[in-house]
Amino acid sequence: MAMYRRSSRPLLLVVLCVLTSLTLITVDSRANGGGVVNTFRSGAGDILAPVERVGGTVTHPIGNFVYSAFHQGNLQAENSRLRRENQQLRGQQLQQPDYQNQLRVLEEQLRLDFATDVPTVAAQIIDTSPSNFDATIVVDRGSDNGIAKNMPVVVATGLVGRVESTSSHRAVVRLVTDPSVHVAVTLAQANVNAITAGAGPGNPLNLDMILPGTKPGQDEKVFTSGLQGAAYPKGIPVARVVKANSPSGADFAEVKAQPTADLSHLQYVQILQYLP
Amino acid sequence: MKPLGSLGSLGSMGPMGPMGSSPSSPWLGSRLRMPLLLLAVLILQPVVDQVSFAHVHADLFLLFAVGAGLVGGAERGGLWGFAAGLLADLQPVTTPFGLNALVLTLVGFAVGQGSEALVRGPWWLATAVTTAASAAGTLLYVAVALLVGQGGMLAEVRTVATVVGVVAIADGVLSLPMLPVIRWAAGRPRSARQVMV
Repeated sequence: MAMYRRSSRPLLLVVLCVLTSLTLITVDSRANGGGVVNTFRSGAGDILAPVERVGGTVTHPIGNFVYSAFHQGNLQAENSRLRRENQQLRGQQLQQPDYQNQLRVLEEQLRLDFATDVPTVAAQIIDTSPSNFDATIVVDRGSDNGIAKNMPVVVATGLVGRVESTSSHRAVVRLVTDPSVHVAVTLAQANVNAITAGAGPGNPLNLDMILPGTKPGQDEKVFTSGLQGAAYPKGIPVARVVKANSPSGADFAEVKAQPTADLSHLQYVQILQYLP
Repeated sequence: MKPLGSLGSLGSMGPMGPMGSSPSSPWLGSRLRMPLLLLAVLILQPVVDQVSFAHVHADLFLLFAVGAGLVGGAERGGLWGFAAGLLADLQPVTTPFGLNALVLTLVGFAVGQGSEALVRGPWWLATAVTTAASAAGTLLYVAVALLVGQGGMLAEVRTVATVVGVVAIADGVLSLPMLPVIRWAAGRPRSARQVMV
């Protein structure tokens, strides 16, 4: 038969942890994105940023090392030099398509046909949010590069999100699919304004404030309207309509739209140095 | 009643010392191994992020807190949950600093309380407890987030349900390799947790 026995030791430390957590939450919430806590968090982020960059860089040589170790283990001394040269050449040959692919991705994601009069900063994605409830990414450019909170973030295919917070060397970008992100948009053909509301990663955006009877076309493009205090420059592609429905008696039509930017395969983004 | 193991020392300064370390596993060793394991969690979380189902991935910080509670009891579970939460709060999240710390402290503590009532059971019991605790922990996170005014980050109920379900299952599966590691880090072999009367 099993037994259980409750600890008699005072749980003072646990209570202290809870109180500390509540204090931190309160202090951080009241500081509203500033304050000592945020400075500490940003500092920690700046410390981690180079580590993340190095980590990504480190994996490639490790792969090459393992490859070499497997192929050079039992070679005779007189053959080792030739084999190393041979493998280096093979490695270069293998890497070449990867470089070409990266270049192609970079060109595709950074060639903008909109907001051409707004200065931009190119940035690389270095991390995603560890939280399942945060639709955010982290980029390797921060306030030292002229990045500020609320700047729009785009790729060639459309809007990605907006800068949520910055530290010296990196910035957190809240994606357009995040439920807290709302963008004033215009449906190109129906010529009506709407507000997007994210429904979480991977889910289409909800287009709110569209009156019943409005019939957006399938695949109709949705662009930023330049309204909403011009939080975003006008004309940035945001999404394509994938579903439209007008239930009887509803105040607004139910319209869903898929973001035009492939948010799950981002490598590079452009940050528009544009503030309302 | 005659305890055969050290369950009685879970979460307390029992006869085997803090964290219930066995004589062959000095406390100093455990104190070094647990922070190192937490550091490993920090490094591995981005790797785990890449493996997702329905855009949801396992939560190693939550799993660590649950495991610490299961292995170390209420007090240690709460303390290690707090440490894991602080580390999670240092990540690029947009929630207030301290939110993860609060949630994981409570999760580690609650699981630790429950673990003290854990009867000797089949091998899968710890996995089942981890699955249930991960689901409860995720729901607690949502509840606390709503309480501190972070409701805007929550999408539809269906999405929340998906996150709860996937995290619970993923953490349950990962508990199979993770719990033995936590036991090792805490200097607590599985047999030491079982108490017969």
